[in-house]
Amino acid sequence: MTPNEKIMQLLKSTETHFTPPALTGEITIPAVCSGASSGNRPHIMTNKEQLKTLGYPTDGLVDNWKEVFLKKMAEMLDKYRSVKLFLKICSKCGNCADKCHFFLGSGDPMNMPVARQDLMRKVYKRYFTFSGVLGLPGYNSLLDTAELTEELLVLWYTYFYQCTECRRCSVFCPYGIDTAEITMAAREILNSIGLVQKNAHVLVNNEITTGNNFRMSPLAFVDIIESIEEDLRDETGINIRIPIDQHGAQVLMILPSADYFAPVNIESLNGYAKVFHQSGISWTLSSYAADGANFGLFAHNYENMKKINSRIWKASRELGVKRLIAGECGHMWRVMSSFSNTMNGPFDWLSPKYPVPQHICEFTYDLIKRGALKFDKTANDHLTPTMHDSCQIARGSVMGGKYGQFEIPRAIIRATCGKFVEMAEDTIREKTFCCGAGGGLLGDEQLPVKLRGATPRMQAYTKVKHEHGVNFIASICAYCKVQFTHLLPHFGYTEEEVGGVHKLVSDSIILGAKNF
Amino acid sequence: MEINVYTLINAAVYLLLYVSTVVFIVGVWYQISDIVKSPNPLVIPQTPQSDALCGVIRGMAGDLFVFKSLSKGNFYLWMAGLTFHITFAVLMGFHLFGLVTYLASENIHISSEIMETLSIIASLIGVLFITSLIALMIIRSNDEKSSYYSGFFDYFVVMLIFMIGVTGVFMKISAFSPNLPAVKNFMINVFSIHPKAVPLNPFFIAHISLVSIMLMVFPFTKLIHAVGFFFSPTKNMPNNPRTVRHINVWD
Repeated sequence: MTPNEKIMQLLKSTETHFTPPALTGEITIPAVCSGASSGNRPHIMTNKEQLKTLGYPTDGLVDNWKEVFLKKMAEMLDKYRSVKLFLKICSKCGNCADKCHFFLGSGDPMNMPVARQDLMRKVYKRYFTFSGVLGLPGYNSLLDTAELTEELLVLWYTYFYQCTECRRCSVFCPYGIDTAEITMAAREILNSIGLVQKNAHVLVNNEITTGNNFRMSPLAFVDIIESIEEDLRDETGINIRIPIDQHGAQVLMILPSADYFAPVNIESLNGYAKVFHQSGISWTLSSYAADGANFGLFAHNYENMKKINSRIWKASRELGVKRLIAGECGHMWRVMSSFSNTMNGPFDWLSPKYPVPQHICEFTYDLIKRGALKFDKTANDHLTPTMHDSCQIARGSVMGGKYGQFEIPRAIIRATCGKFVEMAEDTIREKTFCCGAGGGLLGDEQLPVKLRGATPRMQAYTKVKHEHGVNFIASICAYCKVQFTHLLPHFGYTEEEVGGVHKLVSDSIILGAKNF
Repeated sequence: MEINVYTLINAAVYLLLYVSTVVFIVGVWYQISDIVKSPNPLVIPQTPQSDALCGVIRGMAGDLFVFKSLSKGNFYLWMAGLTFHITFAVLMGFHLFGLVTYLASENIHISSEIMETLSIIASLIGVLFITSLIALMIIRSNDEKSSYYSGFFDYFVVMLIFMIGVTGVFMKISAFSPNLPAVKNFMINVFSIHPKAVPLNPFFIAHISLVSIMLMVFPFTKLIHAVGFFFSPTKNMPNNPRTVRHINVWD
């Protein structure tokens, strides 16, 4: 067996099913169960063309993988202060250990953030410090170091794809050590030696080559939007437009593709369209930048992330718009609000009077404050909603002020619904539990991991369900909505119990005469 | 000159003190340069984070003085860790106070009552110091999770500092106290690089030897967090990427 054949054998997933436990409403710290989550791994990408486009080896594990590994790791350490610093300063206090939803859902000690980081830290100490390099391999346990072996690669490939890069661990760390930064570096190192995770990287490839996750042509995009527009017209009896490629419009709106594919998310798109209609502000979508999703975020491959993001700004320039507004998507908002300016800015063709970019919730909230939108809250009386703060928005973005990303969506929910209940304090806002499936963990083969990861959030939801009759999870992330839609039935709940904040807007907004 | 065991002890202590000081300074300098060599390409603050520098400083002060982020998690870990660090800082302050008042004893005169009161307070704080370290050791050994992330140096470093505290507190017990004027003279000799006899109190020699060992391992173990904290991009970057363009130096 060649080393490549051997590793591909080791990397096959051995866990395909997982039955989540019955929900009690309490989040308990599990007993440590070594290896509880060690059998599930995402598929490896084998399509040579896609690998070539992405710039990764095309024939699986490269022969000189140890050399390439260390070279890429050195590059990560040189380019990212976060990676280097966080490997150096962890004082093993353990505060992060029981904060990760993947640990809470499985008890697997490797899913403790500190242990996940140690997978890289031990390699760092062995090959990048004086004592590690000097020390003979036999001193591994004394110096807390690890050798580069195929077994280590399996651990890396397993556990760095059981991290959704949600940054929850970082909230509790006295130094703010961000495991997501380590995971991003680890994934790019694995990519450089030929072990490329399939699902997320198929999307990176699609986003680079076609500008959307589904390899849709512009005509196909126009088709889908037109049919949504038609449904909207039928539903409201009003000619509400969803313009595409409209030169000279005020606003370019960037959506996650789920907003025009998944039924739950389309309701949010209806919400945006109704808000624009009422506001009288001209807007447009772009068939060139039809999808804001940027999976380049999930590994430290800056070039891919930048390339994908540049479409948005090119479209805004070519369409001659003055504002750019982002739809309800978690990681897209992080990349757009926190990274765009650095990667593709400055954006001097856009009006400085408005945030660049602006979140649709900021836009809607501003209109609500000015009295430009009116709602009939009774339309949402059948719902007792709670807010699920999505990780990339809660812990990695800006929406005005220190807490805008929490206050603004909640203000919109309160404006559109008669009832609102918060989940437990340590499960929301900056301590929010990830839905369990972002960060590139999309593959169905990772369902066992995703079910375990979603458990803490499901427990928190169950608690408010039992105590306050909550029956709806509002969220402003496309992936949270998709994940919950898939997973709620596994926990005994229904798909209808999740939706966007703009679905609540869509169902209660009073259309017609303008109010200003 | 007669060479006997005392000469050897003197030589060893002075060698340890000077070598450890050099290693500490060079080591910390190296670590800082290594950290700043790598840039922050992107703005990655953690929530909550102010969009202005003064807010960022306020936030970091929260973490520095009351371990704000740690307080969001395990209560006992936070209490023990904070107590340890605060008592450590206060004890360092007392050491500095002692040095300064001795050096300026011609100009500053502090009454013996005040000095005695301060001495008692220092002893109590010293006891609190070692108690907090015992609490931290209990937390680390009791928690079943900790064996998965604690290594040899995690136990070694806490034991080292614990023994520094124990030897220090024992010196407050009159039966074990060294000759105070001799100690003060010795410290002056050390700082002025004018080696003379080391006071032969075993606790004193153990105390400064352990401190030297700690200074030597400081830059190369997790103790470097004391310096590294200030460079954490999730803590020290203002959350204003939309209004201020952060430059990625390698793009």
